[in-house]
Amino acid sequence: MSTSSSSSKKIVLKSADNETFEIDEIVALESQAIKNMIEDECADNVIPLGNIDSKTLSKIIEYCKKHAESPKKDDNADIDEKAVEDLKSFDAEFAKVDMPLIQDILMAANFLNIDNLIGLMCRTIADRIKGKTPEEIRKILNINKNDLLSPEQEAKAREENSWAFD
Amino acid sequence: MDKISLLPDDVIIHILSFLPTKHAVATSILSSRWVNLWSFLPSIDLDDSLYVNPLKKGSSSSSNVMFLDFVQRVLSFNQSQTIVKFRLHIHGSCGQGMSRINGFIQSVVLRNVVEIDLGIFVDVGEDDCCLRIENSESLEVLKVNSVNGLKMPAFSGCFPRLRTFDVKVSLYESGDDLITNLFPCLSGLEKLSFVGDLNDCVGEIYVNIGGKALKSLELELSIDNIDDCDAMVVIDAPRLEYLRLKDGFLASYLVRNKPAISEVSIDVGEFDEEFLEFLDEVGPARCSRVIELLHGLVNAKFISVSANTSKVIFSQKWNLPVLPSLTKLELYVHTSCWILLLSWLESCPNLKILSLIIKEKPVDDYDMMEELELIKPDNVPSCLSSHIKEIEIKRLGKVEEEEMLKYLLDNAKVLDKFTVNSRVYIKDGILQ
Repeated sequence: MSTSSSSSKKIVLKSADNETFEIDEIVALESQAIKNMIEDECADNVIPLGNIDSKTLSKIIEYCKKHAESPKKDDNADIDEKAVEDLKSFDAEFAKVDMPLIQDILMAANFLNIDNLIGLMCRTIADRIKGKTPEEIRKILNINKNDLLSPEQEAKAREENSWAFD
Repeated sequence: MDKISLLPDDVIIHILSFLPTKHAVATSILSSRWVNLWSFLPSIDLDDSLYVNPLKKGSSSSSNVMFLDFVQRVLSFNQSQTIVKFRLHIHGSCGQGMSRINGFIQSVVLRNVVEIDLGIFVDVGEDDCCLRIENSESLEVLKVNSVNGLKMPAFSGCFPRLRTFDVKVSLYESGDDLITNLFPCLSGLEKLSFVGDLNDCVGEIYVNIGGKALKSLELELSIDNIDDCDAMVVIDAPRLEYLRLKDGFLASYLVRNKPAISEVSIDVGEFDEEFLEFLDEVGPARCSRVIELLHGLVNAKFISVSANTSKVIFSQKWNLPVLPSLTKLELYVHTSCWILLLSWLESCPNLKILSLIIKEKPVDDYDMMEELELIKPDNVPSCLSSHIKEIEIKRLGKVEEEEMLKYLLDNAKVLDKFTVNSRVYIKDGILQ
């Protein structure tokens, strides 16, 4: 947003299922990983993201667009409160998706190094498992049954931290 | 492996950091991937009110020892290099608990803790015990909330980064650590919120608060028996920007160095009959304390005065000091308050914004009837004729107040904005 030339420059992202997304560079810069690639001049015209499918990638672009448009906190000390509220309600709406997609977004956000989005997804997952029993959490997070603790291990863990399970 | 378990440790720990620590520890049995991740939590949030088993809750002393054991375990297993935030709230009984709590504080201080949030909502019992906080280079925020007579924490050493200190405790005597030790230790303190009860005090209690860096101060004092105890407060904070004072007994306040405070909120004294009778007994010296306080605030830019304080000022008809820097005044009053308003206007020559909030009038209050009579002064206060740009009146309730309204409108010559929120019909023409 700082100069007009940087906002008009385009970057193309390519998803795992070979869909391409042309976005403003300023939007792409929300990703610290892409920013580093651009700064190190190792980004070609098209950046292939072989581990992110198009559904996830379009969600991530939606998020980055909104956040790139919003005034940044450190730009201006007395930032418009309405803009902050607006961004908050955007985030709340954005997070209203099913758990598999949340996990995909989190994984991709972690790969692309988008700090705010990682935080938002982690908080969303935490909110959904808060106060639930271990059985419920396993179901919500779709935890693989092959990785469960043995009954002995689980009993031991429950005993050691018994306060946590009351 | 499932999708979530493929995430790196730090991301899963990030998820856990949004959970109360109790729930984070309980994830240890989800699967082999999660067994030890809770032990890397960078922030710890433990609250015994999350103890939900009603069968065991009855025997609170043993369950609480269990809780403290759990806190101990969480801290000793923690492998995070720094504990950014440590929150510990205790509601159940905690006999012998204070020394253990002090041990926890010490261990998080050694882990370079940045924020400590303690809530001790139980009777600590032992007379000689208090929270002890030693020497921290990293601590920035400290909150201590309590009920039932917790003493001021004892500080030793240096706290160069401590900016924010919120504390709610009981004071026992002058010379409590608050007064003698605290402020030299906390030289970087910018924001202090101090709520103290003096219920076990007798005589005059001295409360000295200050600091070169202090920008925001909130001070709330309370006393059970106003006949036995009194408080003398000295505030020495030359860079103060925000000040909020609240008490129910009209303590003595001396504000040194006349700081140019941007915002002051005053709610001292009490509105009830009992307190006003008490004021009559102790004589005018007590009431003049509000005036002494205002003398220290002559450089303030915005002052908000509660209905309690307005009543105390009105009951004595004191002359207010001139407040040349004051550009905004917010006055809460219990009834139409013509005389009071006039004396404020006369003492604020540069006032630009006046906000008057009329609260419900208590039924048994007759002694103010006389002031409903509008006495027009010979000279219009200069601020009204040449400076006030904005007047806001909320909850105008009585027809008699129309006269006051008319006077303000007739004489405010440079007014840009006039807002009135009224329950009575205002005659056509007044608002032209």
